[in-house]
Amino acid sequence: MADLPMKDIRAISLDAVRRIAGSQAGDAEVGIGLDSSDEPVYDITLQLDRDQQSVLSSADRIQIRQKIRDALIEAGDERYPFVRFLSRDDWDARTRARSP
Amino acid sequence: MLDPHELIKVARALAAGPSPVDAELRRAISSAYYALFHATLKLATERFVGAPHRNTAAYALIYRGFVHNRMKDVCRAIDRPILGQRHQTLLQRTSVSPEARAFASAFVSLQALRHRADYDPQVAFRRSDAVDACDQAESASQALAAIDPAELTDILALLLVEARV
Repeated sequence: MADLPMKDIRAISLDAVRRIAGSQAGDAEVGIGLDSSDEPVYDITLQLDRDQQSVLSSADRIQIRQKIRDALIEAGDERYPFVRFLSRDDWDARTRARSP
Repeated sequence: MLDPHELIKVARALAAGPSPVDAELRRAISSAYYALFHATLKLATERFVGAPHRNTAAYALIYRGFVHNRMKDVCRAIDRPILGQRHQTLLQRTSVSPEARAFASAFVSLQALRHRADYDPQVAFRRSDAVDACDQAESASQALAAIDPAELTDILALLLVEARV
């Protein structure tokens, strides 16, 4: 089992969201988290221009999650991706909240 | 009787206020997960015991026999384009249907989100997280109901029983 470099996971995530959301897709951020059994997982946050409901249907969001999962498996990485969608406003608010 | 539809309604109502507070968002996420969890248990128990036997001990025992972690492990194992060897043997197929994958994918995601909503004080949830959780629970419940009956029975059995291969 290979753990891919973060930049590769970010690229996989951006590719998946851009294929579905097109120009409405913005940035992507990847981190490592733990699932309910304390197994390492990827925490992926995807930025959208507007709120997710106006850009992506529920089926679209499932498709993006599966595309990322499939690309990771194909690259030999079995860590599970947890994907969160944030509008640009929420993304910016989160960034401001992190600033010292 | 526990009604998964009521849980989703409660979750959506909690997320729908003009400016929901953190506790409302966390309870919405948790309720959305439990809506899918109970929809799955209800479907399975009605299949294995039968809805007319709702008041029997067997119904209660099977319903309460489902374990969150085991369900997560099974869903994670079937949320892939081609099943691993162990699950190919257990399920006697090389892959699951798109509906089964959609259910499995949402179950894993929602359970993790619920865990964070209930136990992680550092996550700042947004309304979009709660709405996404509700959407995922509803889509997954619909996907679950749309799985071919034979495949559905196999998957529900695997969610319940620890198989030895």
